[in-house]
Amino acid sequence: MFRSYSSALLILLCCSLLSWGQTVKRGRNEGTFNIPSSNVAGNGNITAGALLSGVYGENGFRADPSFNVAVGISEIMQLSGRVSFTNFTGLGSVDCRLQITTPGNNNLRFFGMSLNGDLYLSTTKDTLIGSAEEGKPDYNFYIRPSAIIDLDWIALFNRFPLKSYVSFSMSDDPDMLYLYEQLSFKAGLEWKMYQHSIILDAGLGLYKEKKNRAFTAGDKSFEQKTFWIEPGMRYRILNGISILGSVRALVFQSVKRVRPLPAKYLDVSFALEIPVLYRETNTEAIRTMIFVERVKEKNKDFVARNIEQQKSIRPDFEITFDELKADLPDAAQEREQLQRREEIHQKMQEIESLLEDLE
Amino acid sequence: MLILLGFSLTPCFSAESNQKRNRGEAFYKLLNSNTSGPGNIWITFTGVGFVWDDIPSREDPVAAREQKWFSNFYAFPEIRAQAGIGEFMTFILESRMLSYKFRFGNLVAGAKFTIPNNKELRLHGFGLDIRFVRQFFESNPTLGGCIGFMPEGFVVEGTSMDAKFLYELDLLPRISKLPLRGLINAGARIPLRSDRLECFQYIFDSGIIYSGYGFDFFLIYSIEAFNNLTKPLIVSQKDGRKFAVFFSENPMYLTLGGNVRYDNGIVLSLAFPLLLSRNKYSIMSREDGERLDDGYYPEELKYGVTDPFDPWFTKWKLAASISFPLRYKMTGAEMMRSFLIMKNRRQNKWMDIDNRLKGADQEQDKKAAPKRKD
Repeated sequence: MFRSYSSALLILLCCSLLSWGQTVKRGRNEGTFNIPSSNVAGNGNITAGALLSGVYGENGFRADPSFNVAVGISEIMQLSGRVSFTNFTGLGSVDCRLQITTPGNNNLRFFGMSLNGDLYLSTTKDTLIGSAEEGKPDYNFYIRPSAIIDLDWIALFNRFPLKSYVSFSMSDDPDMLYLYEQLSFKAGLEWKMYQHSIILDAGLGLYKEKKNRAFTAGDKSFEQKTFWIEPGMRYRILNGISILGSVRALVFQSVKRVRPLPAKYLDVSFALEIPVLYRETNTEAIRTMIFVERVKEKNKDFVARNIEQQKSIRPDFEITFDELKADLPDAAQEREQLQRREEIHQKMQEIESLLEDLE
Repeated sequence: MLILLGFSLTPCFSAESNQKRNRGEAFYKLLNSNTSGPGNIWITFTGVGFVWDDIPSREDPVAAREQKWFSNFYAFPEIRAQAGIGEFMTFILESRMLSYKFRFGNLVAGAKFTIPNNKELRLHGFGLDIRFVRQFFESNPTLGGCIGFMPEGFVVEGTSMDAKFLYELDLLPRISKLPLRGLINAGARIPLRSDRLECFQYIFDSGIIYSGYGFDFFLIYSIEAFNNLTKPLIVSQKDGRKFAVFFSENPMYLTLGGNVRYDNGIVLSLAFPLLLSRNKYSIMSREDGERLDDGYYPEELKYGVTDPFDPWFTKWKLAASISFPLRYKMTGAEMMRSFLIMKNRRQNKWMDIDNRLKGADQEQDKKAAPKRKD
């Protein structure tokens, strides 16, 4: 009885999923927690977000909220900005990114790459570097390049919705840019589902202390290293708003004996992403279509298998017939479901023909 | 706030009408040579933010611990209204409504004039901008404590006059595939106060603007230079202190910025002015100023300097603005600009699946209707 009940439930779920299929608002710039996609949001699309990050490290616990907004400027460009607040006590780093992606942004491409110009406006008081001194602190700005490469495996194998990311940046911790030259290498994997995603990030940060009043020689090389991993997930509600959660754990840190880089052992983060202005993009429409098609195929397979199974378990079924009757959909319902599926199939064909026209 | 703004902008995307463009627009503080067009009124709200460390108590860790909110970030609101009067003139009124310690900052009134071919999309444009600035205070949070040297630049309490010659090279009418503009504003800021006349400044701004249909990018170089190219300007304070300001210490900024433009005329703008100035540090301390005759500081002695003060401007600023038309009539030149940009714009292949499916449903219903009748 349980199996039949769950089967019916699954059919209903699949049908509801199919009927809601076209309304998922998936941003083209969505990536993992630490690496955005190389794709840029569509022209005029605006996404706003908030992040709360709780860090436990050598210097104790602190919580840093931040707010961000991204605006798609053209088909290959996006401007995004972020403002953070240090431990709810003051303004933290402010940064702005201009992201330019390679052509093919409006298609579901396997290989994507973007080059970014990052501007960091430091709010960390610097009294050590260059001309700054106690009483006349500097709040400097830093311009750093960065790059993102991603591979969208669903473009090759529609049963493998994995997206892998690699990024390089010359900033690992913007608040420490005044004191260290930095290199940051990050890699990420995202298993995309119809609405939600499972994420795994890893990152290596290299730090080289600049010449300053306390350390006039400066480091000769990137002597301090930190490596972390960060599993997380994206959970989408109301088909558009994403809630992200992740836990970053420090795996390895190599530091100097004098003035070591403070370790951050654990970082728990929650983020909210809201599409403020959203227009569907071809890339994500195609991805949605693939998911819907797969669900449809699964559904077909399930119906065929169910018929076979029902044939084989007929005697058992007859025994508990009265009990099952209450749980199974009646013939009219099944007819209605089949009719609905047929309609959805027709709609999918319509979408395919539209896409063919567009291409 | 952003969400509300988003909802308010939503209809802009569906609008297919001609884009409302301000003929006499400015890119951060860089002015083009055109006027706004007769009867057109544009309003701009701007917020300028930066970080500045001015309160000594913040240096004290005990005071800092007791303070819950600890931030050196300042943000000041500004408003600007510009109204086109005839084809040749724009009247401008602007103000920094709030400044340090919630004091009224300044009030600016002025006019921009251009040559008669403003109606056309012209390759070379010329204009003249004259403004009177009423600054309400010059005491400042500058760390060195010298009057007039504010974190964002030099000001003089009272009235000053800014006069700038404007030039614009607009490549669009010549090469329609290259919507690039080069702008130059050059002039002077003259304090109308006899004791501050020596502190007049040369103002020079130049920039390159790339304009798409819905966006602009700009890169601007700005300098407000005292008359100190060949020798430093010696500034005398009321308390008898004298210090030197060298050419490299003049406020110089490189501004990176962009606009997002909507069809109904709303323009969202973001600019990041980044300081290029470099201080020429004096090894003399404040106490050393009293024994200059010892011969340890010959350069200071030569210029009669008694104080090692260096101008200390903010390293970066963040300026965000929203601009919209209060009254608008399309000008021929901007209609032509929109047309030329649109002509070369690659059309996006947007697909609204929901709408298309809705359409398909309606078609099916139409097909099904006669059958039902049968």
